[in-house]
Amino acid sequence: MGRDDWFEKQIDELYPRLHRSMKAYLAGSGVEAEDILQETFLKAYKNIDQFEGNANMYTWLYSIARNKCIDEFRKRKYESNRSSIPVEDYNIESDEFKSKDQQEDTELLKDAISELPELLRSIVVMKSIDGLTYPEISDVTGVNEQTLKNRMFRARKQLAGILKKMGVNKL
Amino acid sequence: MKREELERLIVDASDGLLNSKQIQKLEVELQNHPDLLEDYLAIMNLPDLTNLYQIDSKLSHHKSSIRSIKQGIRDLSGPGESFEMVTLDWFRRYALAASIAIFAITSVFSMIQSQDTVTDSELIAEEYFYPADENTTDSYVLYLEEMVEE
Repeated sequence: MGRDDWFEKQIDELYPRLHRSMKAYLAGSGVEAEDILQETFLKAYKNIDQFEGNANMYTWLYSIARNKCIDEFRKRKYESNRSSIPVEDYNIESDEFKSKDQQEDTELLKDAISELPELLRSIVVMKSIDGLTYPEISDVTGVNEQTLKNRMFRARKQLAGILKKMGVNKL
Repeated sequence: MKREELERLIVDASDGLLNSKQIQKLEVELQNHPDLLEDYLAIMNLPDLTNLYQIDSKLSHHKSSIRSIKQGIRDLSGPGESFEMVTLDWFRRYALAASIAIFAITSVFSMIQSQDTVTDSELIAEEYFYPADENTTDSYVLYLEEMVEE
């Protein structure tokens, strides 16, 4: 199998999972997962020589995709707008965040994750949604496992706080 | 136990990595840190996020995106270069060759012209320092004739 055939097979195998993860990571940002993945795979193909054969292709692609997303956030100054909305601003009494059924709770849970700052949101998506291990997340982010766990603590604490403000029941 | 260590243990507990004894020990330790105990309870009460987003494993749903990526790769890989790209490439080569030729020809002409200019300049300078004086020449010829006669 030639290099191009091998790479095309990787696209077929990894695209759906990476798409799910990017969709969760980009929720509410206005950035399309499809656009990010298009750029990601093309960049990966151009730099395929940098990929070490025994490395994890998925985490390598993930790190490229994440960097693309961060570049896009910077372009749109998305994060600054997002962080300017304090959690306390959610009006618990408003209809917007009243949980009526589980479907609505699921959507609010997605919203809550999207309200986390990028540093924490990325870890929650990688660990709790995509099911990556801490060593794999460490490969993607370049951050050691202990620091990742401390960030995960902060992420889950903030997420619990946001959900409490939203009035979301445990699913 | 340090606060950071307790935070990591809380994360391990919420990931389901601690057994009942370890959880019991953690909860005893957290009695000394009421704020962390509160966070622990809130984190343990978080909903499971595993199935929040489903993998759309049917390739047909991603067909157009995947096709677009593969086409992009084929465009990058070279042999299937478009007519426009090939034409532009050759145009660039010819344009470069023509530019070099024009520069060379112009340089040769300007060198020839500058050589002529130097010759004229040298003559003018010589005349300036050694002006041609017809009287002096005539006197010198007369002087020589007189010498011969003697």
